[in-house]
Amino acid sequence: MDNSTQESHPRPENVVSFDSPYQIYAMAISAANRRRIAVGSFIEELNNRVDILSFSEDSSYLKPIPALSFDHPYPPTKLLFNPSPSAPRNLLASSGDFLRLWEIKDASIDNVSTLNNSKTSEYSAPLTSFDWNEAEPRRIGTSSIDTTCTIWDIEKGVVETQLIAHDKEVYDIAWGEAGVFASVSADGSVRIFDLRDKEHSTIIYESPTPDTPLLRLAWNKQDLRYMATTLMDSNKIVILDIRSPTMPVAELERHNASVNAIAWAPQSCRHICSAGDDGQALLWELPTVAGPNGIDPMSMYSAGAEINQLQWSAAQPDWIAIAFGNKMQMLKV
Amino acid sequence: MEDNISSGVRKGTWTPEEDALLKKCIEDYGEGKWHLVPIRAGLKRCRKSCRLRWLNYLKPDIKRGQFTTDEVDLIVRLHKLLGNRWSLIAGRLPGRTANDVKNFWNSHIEKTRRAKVKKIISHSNILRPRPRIPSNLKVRWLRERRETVPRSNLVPINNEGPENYKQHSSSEAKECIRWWNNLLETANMENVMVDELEKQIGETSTDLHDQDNAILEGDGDEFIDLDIDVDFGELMRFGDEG
Repeated sequence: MDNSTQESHPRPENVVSFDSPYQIYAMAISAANRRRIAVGSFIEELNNRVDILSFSEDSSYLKPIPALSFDHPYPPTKLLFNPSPSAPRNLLASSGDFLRLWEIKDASIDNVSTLNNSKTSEYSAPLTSFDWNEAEPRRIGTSSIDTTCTIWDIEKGVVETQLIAHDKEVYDIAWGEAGVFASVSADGSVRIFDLRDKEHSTIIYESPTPDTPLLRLAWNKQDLRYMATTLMDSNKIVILDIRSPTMPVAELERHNASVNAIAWAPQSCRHICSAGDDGQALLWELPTVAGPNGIDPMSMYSAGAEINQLQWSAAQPDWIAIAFGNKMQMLKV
Repeated sequence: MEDNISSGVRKGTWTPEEDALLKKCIEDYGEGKWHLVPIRAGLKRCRKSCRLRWLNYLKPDIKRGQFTTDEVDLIVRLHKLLGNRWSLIAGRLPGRTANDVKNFWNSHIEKTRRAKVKKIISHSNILRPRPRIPSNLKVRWLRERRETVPRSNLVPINNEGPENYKQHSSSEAKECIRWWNNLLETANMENVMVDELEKQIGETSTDLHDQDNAILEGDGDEFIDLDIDVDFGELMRFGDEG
């Protein structure tokens, strides 16, 4: 199903591919310019790159824009564009050793700021993930292996709050609304934090076997009651309702290997997509009545190699981006 | 013991003559066998003192003079890595003795670090939210434990017990799905949360006493009254708008 990037007669395809010279991990789809996709490399060295690709649905191509490519120290663990399409500056944020903001101009990308939390030294704990608050676009929350989550005010470039979120490394963080976020950690818990009450957090789920790390978290932006999380080395996706803590509402268990990435549908509150080491991307519709054998996926795509990353952005609700090996593909829903 | 030692091991500064004697002795006999050195050199010094003097001062390959910026950089980094293990740090700095490195650190760097740390401590305000587990879940869990598990295995319910929630049986999974059903069907109702909690609790329990129900309802309300309550109101609106 691979599509060659050079078509003599362009026609709309369901799968558009891009081959990169290096392995890809981080991906982001721009809200401001819906054709722009940022991909970050995953080379286990200091020198990594982030490329901006131009995506055209009608002509089915994914091409890099050579001028808009920049070096990034260490692989970016996550990339996100500014979620508000009408922001004055076109910003891309990347996390890795620090949280960095990059401004995308017409012909170049400049590093706007490097946000370093540590006051004692130039080194600070690496960031595993971050999330850009859509309701309050000046807020970015980062999660780190030093068990803390830091909330930044990126306009002022300062820390709003830093919380010791968990007992072990925090692996993912997701905003729910302007002052509420959730995080998952190696201690196996999903905790919700409210910035209005920093004294307390709420555990809404703990992994059934003690100390099984939870790796990824996705908060359903269309229906804020529901969250999805994945466990380490597990083929299950756990769907949680934040109103009924510790009891998952559903466990989606159809992957043949561990699940690597999950993403809720940006336009529907019941659909979720997942991808894993079995090379499959599964699209699920969460039913009102669950069958006795569990929930089956609605559709499936086989990529041929372990899929490491999945992004489904509100900017492009008809397309899902996946990354496996050196390739990145856009799949039409 | 010997007259030599009892009549006074010299302490204090080494005179140039003593230095010369020691140097000659080491050059003649080599390092090692330090217990013989004072005797061979004809010094009224303790063997430990002779060794230290040689290693820290008289040895020919010791670098004198200030530490270069490269060396200072190395020292800072090694200290961050190794801490106060001067011999290890000096091991990476050819020509510098552990003693020198230690003195350098304590006199130069420590001053600046102490000043910095004082300033930092006054600015640091990292908070640690305490995890909360909603109380209606605790009571419900206790009830389920009572049904399926012999009494001796009950664990006391307290605030610090996330371990209580670890085991999920298949009956609970079915309950989950029924929760899901009802919640999705009535997703547009404003009061779905309170109603559903009461309905489910009524359906699933076999041992349910009215007392329990009252407790659960009370606790359910309690949960709603917690700070997160505000969010749920707003979340309901989100659900409707979504």
